[in-house]
Amino acid sequence: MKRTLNLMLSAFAVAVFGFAAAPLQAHAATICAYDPAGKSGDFFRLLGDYALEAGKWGATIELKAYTDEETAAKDFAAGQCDGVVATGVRLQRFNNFPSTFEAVGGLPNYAAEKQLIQSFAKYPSAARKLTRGEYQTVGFIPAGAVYLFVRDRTIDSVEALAGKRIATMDYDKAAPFMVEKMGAIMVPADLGSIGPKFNNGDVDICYMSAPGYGPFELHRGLANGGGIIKAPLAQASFQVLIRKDKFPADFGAQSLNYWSSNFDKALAAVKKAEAAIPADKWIDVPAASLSEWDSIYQDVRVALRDKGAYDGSLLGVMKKIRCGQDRSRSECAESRE
Amino acid sequence: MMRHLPARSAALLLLSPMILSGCAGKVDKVVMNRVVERALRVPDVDQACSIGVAMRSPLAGITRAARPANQALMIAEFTAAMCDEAAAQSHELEAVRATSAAVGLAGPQRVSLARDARIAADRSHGRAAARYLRALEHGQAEFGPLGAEACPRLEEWEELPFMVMLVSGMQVVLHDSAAGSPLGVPKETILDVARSAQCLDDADWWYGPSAMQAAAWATIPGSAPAGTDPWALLEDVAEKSDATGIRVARALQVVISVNAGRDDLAEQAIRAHAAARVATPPSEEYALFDQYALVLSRHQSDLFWMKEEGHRTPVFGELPGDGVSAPDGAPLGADPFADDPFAEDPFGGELPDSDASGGDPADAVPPAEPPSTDDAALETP
Repeated sequence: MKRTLNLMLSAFAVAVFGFAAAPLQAHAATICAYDPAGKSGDFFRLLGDYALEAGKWGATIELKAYTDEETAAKDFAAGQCDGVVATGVRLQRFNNFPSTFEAVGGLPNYAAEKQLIQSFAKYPSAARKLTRGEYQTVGFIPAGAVYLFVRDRTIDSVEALAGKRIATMDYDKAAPFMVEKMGAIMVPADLGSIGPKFNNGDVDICYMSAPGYGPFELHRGLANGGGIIKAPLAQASFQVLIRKDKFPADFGAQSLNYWSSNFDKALAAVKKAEAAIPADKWIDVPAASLSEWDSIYQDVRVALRDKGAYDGSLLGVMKKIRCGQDRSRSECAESRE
Repeated sequence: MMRHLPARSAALLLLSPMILSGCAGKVDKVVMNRVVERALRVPDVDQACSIGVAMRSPLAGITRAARPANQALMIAEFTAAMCDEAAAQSHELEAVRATSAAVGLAGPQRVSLARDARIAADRSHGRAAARYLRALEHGQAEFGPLGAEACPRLEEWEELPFMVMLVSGMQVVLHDSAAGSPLGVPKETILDVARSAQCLDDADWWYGPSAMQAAAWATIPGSAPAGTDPWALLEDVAEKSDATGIRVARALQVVISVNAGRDDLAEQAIRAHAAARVATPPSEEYALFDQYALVLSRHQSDLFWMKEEGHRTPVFGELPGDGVSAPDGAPLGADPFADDPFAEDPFGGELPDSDASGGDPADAVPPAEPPSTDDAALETP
């Protein structure tokens, strides 16, 4: 009788007050979240909203901030967190399908990027490929188009890159091919050294997305006639990778949907950073030169696909998106990808 | 609105001699040498922020718009921002409380409460950022642009407002970022703060200038001078500041460590901050700054406590989990009470003066067991 009364009272509490008398929360999943600016960064802030929304899907998420990307990835690999947020290139070791998202020249603009992210949420076949073993990629957050920053704005064509020193992220597997194709010289760097190397003139060129322009003070390296080549090299992204058994069964689908729906909100910070760069720093590339860049990009993509670094099926989808935007692209008549 | 009227009236009375003169320089000097000098001796952040809110408009009104009392206005905006900072801290705690497992709210309620608290925190951070930005702008109007290669010539009494300008530069970035960048303050502003920080003597300003440099370098990768480890520098200057009685450098270390996700460092710094307060009393001259430092560190401590235990810090310097740490001393090994000499009550036995007949029956001592051999061994000869 007493037990029945307790059950009735609990049910009443839930019905009237909307909460249970005792804590009902499931085990919280920890996500190691990289943002170069830490908890005060724009991306970490987006993740705060995401973690809250995930509560509606039955997941309790705790975010742990990291300002060092490799440490975040290592802690995830070591099982210290159930999920990780880092750039695609850094997470390549877990699954090369999602990291191909950042393929050189794969997504020439934000409309193409948005379409691809929406397709991940829409097609079950994509969701399957985003899973490998115990790992599942459940979110793509735009981190901005990556541009070439040159200390001398006369370096505005593929030919002009020959013999120039390029600061290259040492963990970026695509970079050596790219630099070799350009006939340039690779100078290894990391996030902590790329700014000083460019600003001090130790290298002639570096690559970066717009949110890095201010914090790394790249205007110093551009001060004597430098510029930014307005032809996206790739689309940088933060990707959410989880151990799927630590999350509810439909978490992946919900999460992909969330980031697909919030693409514009996430891109706003990137666009703001691009708009903050003075107009005279941009170097416009003539259409004829763009096709030259495209050709180099395609060679690099095909070479990296053949080596197993890029996923061929995703390269094919990206080509469909590019050709859907512009049928006149020369690659549309070919079948290399 | 009505709450501030008496304070505004008082401020007008206080400033009435200057109203007649309208001289920005005089206003600055009186505010810095009298008002600020005395306010700094009172360890009351709430009071300072109320003064700032109340004083800002009267100060703006007594000088010409074309030649404002920049130093005085900077102080007013800076201290007014502390009110918003306190509100933001409170909302941040509400957000963490809503999602704390220790509180145990169910899904929909925790989400809506946490979201509401985050929105409220954003608004407060945004207002704080706007006030810190106005403080920074007044500072730059007085001392020149932040990060300029050459240091301005500072009279001794101008060093304090210069320091306040630097802190404003740091704070505007932190609060604007926390609010979702409504003002679009460039993050690299903190690097300009770091450059201007070299214009002050470190030891004279309780190692605050070096702490701000280290904080900026720790926040932006690759920005530190070659060979400088910003985290090591931050610990070094925080340790030096502990003994000054003005622990601003220590508080900055706590804030920056938490921001970078280095909770272990932050916890060490919080313990060190608490220990320093015991070892060295707050400076009398700058008691307000030391209190402000405490408020900053304690807030981060509160966030740890709220997440783990569902409440604020009970004792500053203690952290969640402290109570369940291993006991002091050498390990005692397997159950040390297995061979318990007290297994049978050595104090058993009838009390000589038990008064079972006349006293309260509840106090009656139950009849004793017959003494055992062990009991006999305990008897005094």
